[in-house]
Order: sequence, then C-alpha cells, then structure tokens
Amino acid sequence: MNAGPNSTTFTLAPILFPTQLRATAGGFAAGVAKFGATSGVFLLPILKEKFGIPSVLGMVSAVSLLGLFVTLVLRREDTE
Amino acid sequence: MRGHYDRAVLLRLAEIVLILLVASVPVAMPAVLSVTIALGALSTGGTLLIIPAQRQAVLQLARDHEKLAAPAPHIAGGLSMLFSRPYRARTELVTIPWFLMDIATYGVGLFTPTILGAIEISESTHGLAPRDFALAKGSALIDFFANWFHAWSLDGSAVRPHPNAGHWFCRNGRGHVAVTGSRQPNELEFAHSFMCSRDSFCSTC
Repeated sequence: MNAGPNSTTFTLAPILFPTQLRATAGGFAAGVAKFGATSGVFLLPILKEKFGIPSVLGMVSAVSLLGLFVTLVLRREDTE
Repeated sequence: MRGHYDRAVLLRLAEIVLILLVASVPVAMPAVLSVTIALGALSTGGTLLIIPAQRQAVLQLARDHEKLAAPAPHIAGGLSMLFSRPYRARTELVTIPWFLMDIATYGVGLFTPTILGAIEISESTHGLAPRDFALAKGSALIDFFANWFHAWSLDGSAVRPHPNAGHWFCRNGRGHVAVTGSRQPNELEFAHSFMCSRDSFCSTC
C-alpha cells in the first residue's frame, strides 16, 4: 500500500486542480479520507469481535480493491 | 540482589525507550519532512539553483513582469467549486479512493499487533507484557519497512517530472529537496516538494 496508492493520494490533487482550488481540493480529500480512517479504526474492532480476524482482513482487502476499481472507473488524463 | 534487580529494570526501561523511538520514526517522519521542506523552500526562495538546460526558460519567465504581475483570477466559493460540473469527477477521483484506502491503511495499522498475535509470531514469549513488547517490536519493524517503501515510491514515480513541467532540483543545508515547477507558464510555484532520497535525483545540483 505504501509503495503506491498512499503516495498517489498526496499527488493527485495538486496535479488535477488549478492553483486557486488546489489547496481546497487537497484538504477536502484528506479530510474525507480521515473520516474513512476514523470509521475504519472505530468499526474494525467491533467487526473483529463479531466475525474474527480473517473476515476483517478480507473486508479490508475488499475495500482496497473497491478503491482500485473506483480509481479505474474515474481515472482521467490531466488535460488542462 | 537489589543491584541486579535495578539493572534488570534499567534494561527494560532502555528497551521501552528504544521501542518507542523506533515506533515513532514512521509517525514523526511526515511531520519532520513537511517542516524541513517548508524551511528549505523558504531559505532557497531567493537563490534557487536551476539546472543549466532550463536556466534560460526559467529566467525568461521571471522577466515576464506583465504575466507575473497579473492578478490571479478570483474563484468564489472554493468548496462548492469542487462540486461544480468541471471539477466534480476530479473531486471524486481524489476523494473516494483515498477514503476507501484509509479505511484499510489505518485499519491494518491498528491491527498489525493483533494480526501478528494471530499468526503466533511471538509464541516463544510468555506472559502478557513480553508478548505485548514482541508484538510492538514486530509492528514497528513492519511500519519502518512500509515507510521505506513509501519514500521509495515517491522517489521513483511521483517525483518523475511531468512531461511539460519546468522542474529543477535544489540542494539546501538541511537535505535534498526536489521541487517540481508548475505546468502553466505564468505561475512559478512549488506544486509539490518532496524529499529526495536517492542521489540520482540530485546529481544536477
């Protein structure tokens, strides 16, 4: 994860947005991402108690793959 | 025997300090990097070293006072603009994958000791506290390598110059900082600043 996607998240907003929106876009994306981080950290222990570690790891993998899928669907070349 | 006991306590204390230090490396690295890069950009602001091949182009831009002095067009309502038609898809692209990825990233970060415990990596250690320490050590090791990969990928892919970017590399007293310029000729800004961890990137200094 750290070898690719994590680094990409930091660079996408500066690449895709004009100067006037760059910081807003980066901050908004980071903020929404931390909402995901918080809910993950909050919910995973509960899920672990209910379903066990293998299921939690499976869910984490599924969420990562979903991120990959969304990226593939929404990807775009920087044309500006 | 009291001296022996004290030594054991001291050793244990030293071990705790060592573990906390190692574990704090990946946590503190982004903060240290941000501050270092910001300070470096400030201190080199006046005297940027420009690679010879691009020196003329950059100087020409700097001479274009008309362009440099033109006020940037004002965009009202930054946050709502993110969801306006031209930018909605881009906002989705930068937001949704990051959101999904962070569920996994922070979840796995939280769960590393639990996972290590589940795969019995530390079954040779008995007792709750030694076991916790073994798990913390394992987690710290994994975090360390994860962050090494992080730095490596930034170095190898993200810092790769944009095809039409004016980019240059500069060196300051605090370390190597790679600065990529903007893609638009009338904005000489530092779009991204990254720590340059391999010397090949800084050979043009």
